[in-house]
Amino acid sequence: MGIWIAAGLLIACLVLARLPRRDVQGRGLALLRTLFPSWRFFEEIEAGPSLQVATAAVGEPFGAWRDAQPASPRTAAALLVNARGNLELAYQSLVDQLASELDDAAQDPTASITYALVQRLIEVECLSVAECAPGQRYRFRLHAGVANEDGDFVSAEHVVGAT
Amino acid sequence: MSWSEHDALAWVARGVALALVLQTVELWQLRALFSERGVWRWSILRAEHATLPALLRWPFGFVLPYQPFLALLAVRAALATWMLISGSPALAPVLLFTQLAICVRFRGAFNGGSDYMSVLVLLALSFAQTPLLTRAALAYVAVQTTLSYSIAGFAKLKSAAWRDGRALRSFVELAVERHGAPRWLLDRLTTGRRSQLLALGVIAFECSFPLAWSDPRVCAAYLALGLGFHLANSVVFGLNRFFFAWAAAYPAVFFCSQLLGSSA
Repeated sequence: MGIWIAAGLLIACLVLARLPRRDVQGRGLALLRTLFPSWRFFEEIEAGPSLQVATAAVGEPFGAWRDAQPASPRTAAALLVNARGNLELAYQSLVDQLASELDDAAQDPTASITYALVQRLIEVECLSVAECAPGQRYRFRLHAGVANEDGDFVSAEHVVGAT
Repeated sequence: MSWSEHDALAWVARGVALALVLQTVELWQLRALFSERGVWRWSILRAEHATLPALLRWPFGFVLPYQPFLALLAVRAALATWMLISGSPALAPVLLFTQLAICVRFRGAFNGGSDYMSVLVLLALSFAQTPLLTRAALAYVAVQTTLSYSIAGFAKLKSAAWRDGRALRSFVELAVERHGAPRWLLDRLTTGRRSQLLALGVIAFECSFPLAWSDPRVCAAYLALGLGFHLANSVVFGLNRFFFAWAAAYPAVFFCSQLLGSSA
């Protein structure tokens, strides 16, 4: 009997995998999306954009773009507890979500919660103490790689502490 | 080894409890980032919770501000520790609520797939009140585990970039460049045809996972391979949570293979 169940499951999985992916519609249901797993891990081949930041002191021009999230080195203990590593993955999801919202022209993405969270991410995690001084400014970009630089989203200037 | 449904359920309960304890320790270490001085400020997130179904808005709105959220994490750690020691699923509904609350706090999920698996295992445990419902709950977990591998496998099989190894190579490069994975992985996993062979191995394992249902010995082999697969994902991609969330579901898969094997 086991082999027949296995064959049935195999066919069911094949059929389910061929169905087009459907995202959960509506923000309220999206918050509960863990109840509707899609199980399509690593289906998207292209890496999401990286977050880069440039800062400026009062009356000064902006400096060069730099990676906003330098990676923390992995340790053996991370096999058990990997708070920092999982946090970095959550940050990347946030950046990917903002990129997705920017593609959706139906609403102003700079007014979104995702945009505000990315601003907080930069102010909390990416700026040095000197860069957090009153009047300091920053802007960020979603960088899709040197070859696609023209398509990068570049934010407006923000003053530190305004969020 | 022969398990009753009670034994299998107790091991699933212990497994998911261990996963929840470790997840909670991680969140506790990050707690400053959920405060008003952190990234996931409740004052920013609050507006979005108005979009939740009305039935859930009040309980989640009550526990998701910073201080109650810390209390929720502390209570969850204590309850999960009790479930880990006792193997009893009696507290699963409460832990399910805490899991959903954490997912809602992080706008759907903090860690994607591991959150999905934790939720569905806790959901199944919450309904396992009689021997028949226990079997149904174990079958639900086993079917979802099978779907999780096999759907992912067939989705990869459709992609030429996965079949020729390019996709795996780019994911490993990304893990090294952006997520702190050790650089030696690039040489070990991506040189020559290794990435293609590894990718085809992953696809074969995932697509054929339903065969685990055919016989308990075959099942044991698949589960051992699965543990190795998740361990490798922990090392390369930092997906430690997936290891524990999926391992928690394995006793259910083994129980079902054993049940079907004995009825042949």
